[in-house]
Amino acid sequence: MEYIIKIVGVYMIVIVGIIGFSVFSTLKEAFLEKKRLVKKKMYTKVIHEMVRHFKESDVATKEHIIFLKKELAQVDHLFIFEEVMSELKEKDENLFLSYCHGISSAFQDLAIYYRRKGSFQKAYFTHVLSLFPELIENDANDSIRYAMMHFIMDDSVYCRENAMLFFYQKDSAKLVVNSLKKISNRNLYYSPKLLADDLFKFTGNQSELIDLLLQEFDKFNANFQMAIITYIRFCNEDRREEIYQKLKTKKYHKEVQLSILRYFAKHKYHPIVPVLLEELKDKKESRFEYRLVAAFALGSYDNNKTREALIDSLSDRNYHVRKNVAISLSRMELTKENVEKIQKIQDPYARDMLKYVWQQAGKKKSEILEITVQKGVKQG
Amino acid sequence: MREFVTGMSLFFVSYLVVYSVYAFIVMIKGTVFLHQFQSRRKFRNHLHHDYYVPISILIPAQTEDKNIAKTVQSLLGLRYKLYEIVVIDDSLDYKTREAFIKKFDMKPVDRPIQKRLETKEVSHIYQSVIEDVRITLLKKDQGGIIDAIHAGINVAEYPYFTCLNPNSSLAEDALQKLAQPILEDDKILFCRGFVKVVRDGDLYKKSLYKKKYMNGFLVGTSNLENIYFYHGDTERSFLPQFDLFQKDVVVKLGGYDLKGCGENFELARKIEDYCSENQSEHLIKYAPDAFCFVASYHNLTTFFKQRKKWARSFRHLFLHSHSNGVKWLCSLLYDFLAPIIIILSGIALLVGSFKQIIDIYPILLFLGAYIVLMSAIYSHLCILRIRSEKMKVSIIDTVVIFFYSILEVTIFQFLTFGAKLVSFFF
Repeated sequence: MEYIIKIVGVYMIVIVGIIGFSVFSTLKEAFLEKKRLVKKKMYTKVIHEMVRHFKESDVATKEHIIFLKKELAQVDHLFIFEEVMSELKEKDENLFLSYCHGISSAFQDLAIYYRRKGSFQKAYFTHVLSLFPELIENDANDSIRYAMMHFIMDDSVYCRENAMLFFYQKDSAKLVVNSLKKISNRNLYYSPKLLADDLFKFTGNQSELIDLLLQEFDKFNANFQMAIITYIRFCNEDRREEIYQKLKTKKYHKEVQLSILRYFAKHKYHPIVPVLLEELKDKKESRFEYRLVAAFALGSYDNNKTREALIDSLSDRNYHVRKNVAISLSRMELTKENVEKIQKIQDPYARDMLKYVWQQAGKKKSEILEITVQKGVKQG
Repeated sequence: MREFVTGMSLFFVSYLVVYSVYAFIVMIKGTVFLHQFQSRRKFRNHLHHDYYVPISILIPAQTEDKNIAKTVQSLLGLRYKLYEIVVIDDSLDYKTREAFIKKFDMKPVDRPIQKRLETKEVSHIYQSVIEDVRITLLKKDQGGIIDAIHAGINVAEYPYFTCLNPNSSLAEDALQKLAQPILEDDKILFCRGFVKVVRDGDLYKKSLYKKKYMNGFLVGTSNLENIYFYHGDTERSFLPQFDLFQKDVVVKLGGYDLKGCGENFELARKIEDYCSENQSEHLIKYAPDAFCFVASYHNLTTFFKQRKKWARSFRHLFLHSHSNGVKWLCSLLYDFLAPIIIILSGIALLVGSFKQIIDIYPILLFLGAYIVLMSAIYSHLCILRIRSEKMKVSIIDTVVIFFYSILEVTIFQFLTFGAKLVSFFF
């Protein structure tokens, strides 16, 4: 049993080690917190002194630039710097802007420095830049632009996202489009939802951005193309003809084509109707997503031809297609002939779906009864 | 007899040593993981968007689930743009159902169901929309938890779903945090949050988020289980879970195992097996700051019943699992056969001690050291976790956590083993 005693000995050492680590972590945390507060006080003092200096000159002193480059090379200090800058911005925006302009050279060098750091640090540095884009001037030199491009191609999605947020605030559509092309070319995953959402953060000329995005459309991968169409869908710009031309080429990925069809659900454009009707008629199982989206989009085009096509598709095999057909029909003004045609439908799935969708659409009971009662069948 | 007793004693000591080494390694990995997670959060390595993916919250409800209305009420306050709540009434009593319908002003609808998974008949569907959240109540023929979840999946509108216990609540930003990894990588098949066990009376309190540690058992176990999970060891994680699944994937796999008990760990295991069989690149991710709060057990009977159910389900999973090698051996020894090994070892030690075949005192000393070590490991993980939630831990907190850990390693584990053993026979 001697070895058991040895094992107990080892256990004791490990226990002491774990307790010691916990105590050490607690003390370290308390110490770091104190240190952080002291640092924050110091940064506030130094920055306010420099801000007073800007009343005489619009450039920071050499010593201050060196101070910033040395201090902010550590990401923990950058964290404190962010807090101080946020307080300054809230207190006096003009002073804040002057200060950013004055220390721009420090941040340009820091951008080159952080390029070589790990993903965590890069992501945080780009986060600070996205919060205070004034820290890097618009006419920054090539090495800075290169450093910033490096951030958008990082493996970390946070770093890419923050770097893009910085670019969106630079008012340059060309810069944004070039950056997105680089990410697309590297085949780095960028969720279409995120991308579409982020494009709205662009503070420059939206029209110019959309022009460029459509011009360079074919150079993006499918995810980016979907996001671009989704973004344009929610903008107030009339791009119907350009997007229709894209659909006519039929060369894009299925999801991109579906995004385009969804675009025309929101932006009415009559030349698209024959395309939607053709998709709705194609009953191949592999094309059900096209039928689904076409059925939904046709709800914006209320005419007899579309109503007839939708009614014919009420008995589609696919649940979601039937549902979208019913939703579209509920948005239309049905004629007597349409109602009679619906009443002749024998398919119980079609009738159930219509009844449910009509209920959800807030239709009157009499209207629901009218379309769901089979002609010649008595209702109790 | 002598050889058996001596052999069994040595085996028992080695058995516990191997487990403690494994727990220690997991603790190190967990420390690194939580430290990285803390850094990521501190340095804003996260996505911040209003919109995420639409989620259906499924809540299967049975006779004993009287708090279902409170649970749903608490879910209406979530900070998430697009989600729905589907309550599946498998066997609620009439009074509870009527009170629920009245409370949420629900109206009957004739909603067609796409029956992608086979279930018992759904007789009525009620719906309402409160604060832009659609609440659906399915009244169906009794078919058990799994049947209820499948019915919920059939009715769920959105591409992602999570299944909650009727006696649970979520942190305001739980869905946001849980969905975030999906936006980072399109290969993520499911994402796991973190379950905290709390006192029944605290479950729906707004201040729950700030509670430092669980007021009951599972101080360390749930932390350890979740670290196991994060490192790909899904076999070891079978406590209540808060998971987000892709509906299409689950339907493709045929849903939950009909012979299981409807816990998420079963589905998680199925998905993992599917990925390894198909050499799929898909990922499983962990969101340690997505919190789900679950009420602790009302009494020992409820606790015992639940553990028995899980033990049976785990055995079923184990016997049908496709994993092999070291993982399989660990599951066999430390889960499947654990109660039998402990009982046999206990008997051997008692007999050995009475018959003076072995000296019991070193073994008792070892057991004491083992309990302290495991308690230290559990406490350490718990403290790390609390710190990762930006809360301070005082000396008193540390002592209380350590005390709870000792209870967990001794009484709680003893009861769990007892339940596992009983589940073999009843």
